[in-house]
Amino acid sequence: MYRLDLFIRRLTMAPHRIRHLVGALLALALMVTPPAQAKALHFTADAESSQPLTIYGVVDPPQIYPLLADFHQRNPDIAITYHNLETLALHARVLQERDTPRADVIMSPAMPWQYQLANEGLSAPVDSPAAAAWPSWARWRQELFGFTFEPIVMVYRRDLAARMPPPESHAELLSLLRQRSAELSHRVVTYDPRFSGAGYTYAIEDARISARYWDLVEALGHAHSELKTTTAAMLEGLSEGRYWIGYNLIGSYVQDYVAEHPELAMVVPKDYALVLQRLVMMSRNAPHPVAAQRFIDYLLSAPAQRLLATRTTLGAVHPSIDGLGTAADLRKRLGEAIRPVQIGPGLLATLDTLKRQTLLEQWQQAFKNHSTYADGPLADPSPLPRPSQE
Amino acid sequence: MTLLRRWHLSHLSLYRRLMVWLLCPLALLVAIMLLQAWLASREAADRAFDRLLDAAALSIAEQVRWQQSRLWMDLPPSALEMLATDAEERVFYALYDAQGHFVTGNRSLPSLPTENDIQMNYGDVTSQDMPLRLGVLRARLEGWDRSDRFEVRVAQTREGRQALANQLFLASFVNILIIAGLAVVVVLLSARFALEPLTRLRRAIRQRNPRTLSPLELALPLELAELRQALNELLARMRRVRANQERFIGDASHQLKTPLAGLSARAELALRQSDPAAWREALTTMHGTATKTARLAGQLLSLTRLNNPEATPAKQTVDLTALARRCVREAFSRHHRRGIDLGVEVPEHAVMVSVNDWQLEEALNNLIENASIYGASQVTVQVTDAPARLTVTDDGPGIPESQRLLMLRPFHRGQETGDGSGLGLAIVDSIARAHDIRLSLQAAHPDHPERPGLCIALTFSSDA
Amino acid sequence: MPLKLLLIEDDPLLASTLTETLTVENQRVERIADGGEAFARLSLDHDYDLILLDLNLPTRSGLDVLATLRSRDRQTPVLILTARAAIEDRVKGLDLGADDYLAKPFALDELEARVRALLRRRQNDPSEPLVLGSLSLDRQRQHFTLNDTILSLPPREHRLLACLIHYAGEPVDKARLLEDAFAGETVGDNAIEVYVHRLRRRLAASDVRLRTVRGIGYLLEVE
Repeated sequence: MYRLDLFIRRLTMAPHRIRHLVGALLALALMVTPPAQAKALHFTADAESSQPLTIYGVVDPPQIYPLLADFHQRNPDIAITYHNLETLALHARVLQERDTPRADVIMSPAMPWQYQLANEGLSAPVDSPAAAAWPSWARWRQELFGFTFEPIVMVYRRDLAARMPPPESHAELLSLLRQRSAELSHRVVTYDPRFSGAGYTYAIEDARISARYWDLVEALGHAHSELKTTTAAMLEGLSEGRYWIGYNLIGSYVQDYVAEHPELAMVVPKDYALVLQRLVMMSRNAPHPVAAQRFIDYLLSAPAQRLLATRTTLGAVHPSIDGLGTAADLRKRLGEAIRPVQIGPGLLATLDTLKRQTLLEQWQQAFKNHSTYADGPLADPSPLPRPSQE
Repeated sequence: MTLLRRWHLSHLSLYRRLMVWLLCPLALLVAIMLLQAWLASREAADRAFDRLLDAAALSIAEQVRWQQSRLWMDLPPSALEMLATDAEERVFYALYDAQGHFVTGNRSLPSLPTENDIQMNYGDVTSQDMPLRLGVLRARLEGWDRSDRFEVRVAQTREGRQALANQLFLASFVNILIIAGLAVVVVLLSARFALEPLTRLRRAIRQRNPRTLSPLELALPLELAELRQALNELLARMRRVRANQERFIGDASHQLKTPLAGLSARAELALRQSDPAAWREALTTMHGTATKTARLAGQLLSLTRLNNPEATPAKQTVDLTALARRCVREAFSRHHRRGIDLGVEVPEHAVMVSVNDWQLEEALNNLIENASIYGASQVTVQVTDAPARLTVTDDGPGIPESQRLLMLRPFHRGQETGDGSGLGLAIVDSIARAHDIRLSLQAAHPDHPERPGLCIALTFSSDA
Repeated sequence: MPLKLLLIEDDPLLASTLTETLTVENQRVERIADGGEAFARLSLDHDYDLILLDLNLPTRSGLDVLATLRSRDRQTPVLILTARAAIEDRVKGLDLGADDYLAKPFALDELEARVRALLRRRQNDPSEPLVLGSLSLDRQRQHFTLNDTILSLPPREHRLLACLIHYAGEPVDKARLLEDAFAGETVGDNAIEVYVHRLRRRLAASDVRLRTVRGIGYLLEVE
């Protein structure tokens, strides 16, 4: 993934058409590439008695590397293997391996899917001091822990300010889309809920928060907004100038990107901001439970959290950690507007087939496209073994 | 069986018996109460938590409608959220149509058998190794066009219920234990208090002077009062016996002191004399008296032993023939020296009776001795069979019929002079009575009025 | 060689009287008054021909003394003297190995007779003749002497008289006489009477008498 980023950057210099082609090919590749061939990180054990540790995660290796390196330094007797997978691929793989799990630790930002795995009984309780002290709103059952705090943001090109006031909130975006729909035609980009698990999740959450969300969807449809499947694609398009506004992007990625692309600006919506938490769990019947517990304990401890806050853009949850990039800081700045996605059974509702149908049909209506809810890899968002007919 | 033998209560202390019979049922009762409390706690917890299943199922059912020619629902997240309490249970839901086909849900859940027309049923199921509490709601679509039946099935894991059940049970448990503890204390104290009269009785008896036979005066409850009564009656009997013994000893002591006084006086008199012939006469007299007194002492001892109510002498099977022979053989030389012809007439075969052997031998020896002392020249011991009888016949002066009964009394002598002590026949009588032997006295030769002789017979009862 | 008698009796009057009674020609009496002393003395070897033992002794009971004697010596005759009239005590003593029993008080001549009987009975030395008054039996040569004249007897009479003289002073069962004299031959009821009659005639001129003990048997005694 790391090299691909650079590759993309270089491609931005290439001609338009080739960029598109390559972009399409890349998108295809991203969709089609079997997850097993995604990059893996290895840390070999230094000490004599080594225990292996297998981690499935969704964070890009460059982002996760400092964390793993720090853990390895503190625990040289553990040989770490980190597999970077796509969210749905990770989910499917864990289900596949449910009887003889290969992963000890599973991390994913796809909160409903991760919750579902835990609810199915595929997680094991973590008994460690850090886990016991973890705030209750950021964990479920001592089995599932939210260890990052990532707001969902909007992005706009700074030069947009010349034409219109940049949106600072959902309400402003809605009014902007209504008033300037002609100007903004094909200029707004957001997640395609049919194909993106993250996007679908945010759509559901948005819909739960306010009924006016559907006005926004209609407005987006009316403005022929573009639908993408990854934050990276959206950022790239914004950077190139194809898009002027991006809605519902993952803040951590945006922060990184915007640091290098000063033409873009990130804004955390003022009226409300969804916050996602990456969830970590230990597999039931993990092959190396001791190593897994040590890793999770580390992840929830102050040093790791501080590292997350300072050296990554993922945000830290640890209540004692303050300062930029922490949940505490975000709460302080935004106060009531923070809307962390609840880690609870409500997430299961997100995955309900009928609910999904409903949402996508509504989106269909707004965008007046003819794809159905059956399209895309989310056709069956809860890929459990099909219940037997009774 | 070994366990039963160990628990043989009859030899345990009364206190311990009471304890066992009170505390064991109490323990059983406590166990039953604990069991009942446990079941009640579980049921209460289930009922409380089943309300959540109710609410969740209902709120889901409200969202079910007919759309696009099929069952359809908009799952409210709150329905699932209310199923997960503080215990953060795992939750499951499923919607089934009237034919039992799965419409939507996150797990296939089984149905539960219908009970009358109760809408909501609850049951414990296990799904994929997870114990779940299942609630099944049977409902109909509300509306004008369709009224299809459907089932909403919701389930949750049991952590919350278990925690509540445990909490409720713990509270009951503590209560029951406290009450049981108090009950045990009460039982211990009451038993001790109730058995207090026994302790008082024991102490009263222990504190008595061991020599005293005075009645036991103590206020006691009814059951022990009977015991005290029996004890006092026994003491009264013992007092009577002791009085008899004391009187007897008094008599005996008198009987001994008299001849001893005679001896002493005769010796003193002889010392005043200087004639060797007088001395010889004195010595002869004194020798006789001394011998008599010695014999008396021996017989007093025998009589005392016979009158001892505590000893019940054991009975053996004794051969009268052998006994008669033995006694005669041993006594022969002694009597022969005195010029008495002692003989025995016994059958060839053995004549068996059930008696105490030393007592019978004592009786026979006394009879033989008696016969020889009171002037017989020929004494014969006879044994006859059917009925078994032991007879001692002599040719002495005999006993007049009027005096025969008197002779059996202690210290009553047929003749004032003579070597008899007056105890011989009393001893025999005592032995006869102890053994249920009939003692009879008759004249041996009634046709010799001068010397009718005496025939004393001991007749044994036929089943002896 | 004079006979040595041991008297174990604590009462001084009785002891001195018995000692004087039994100290006759060819017979000496030694006296011990304490049970413990007697026990010690009889635990060692001794050369007494007869022991008279009182059961009621200080320090040590007579039965203990008897037991310790009998553990080393089963030959010496023991005559028990006791104030205890109870038959169990007598049986106990006889069970422990005493030969005879005499209850106090006793007549002196009774004592003398029993002592003589015991001494005679236990005389093992066959060179010594059995003597009763003027009758004497030379056991080696097996002939009787009456009034210094040899008595020649037919075998049965001889055996009968030998048995009687052995138990001189005590009544002898008819059954035992039959066995000794007739050695198991079956004889008529009156057979013994016949021989007794004959023996009586032979002894008529002496001081030895053959008495009938009615119902028991016979005894030989000095008049």
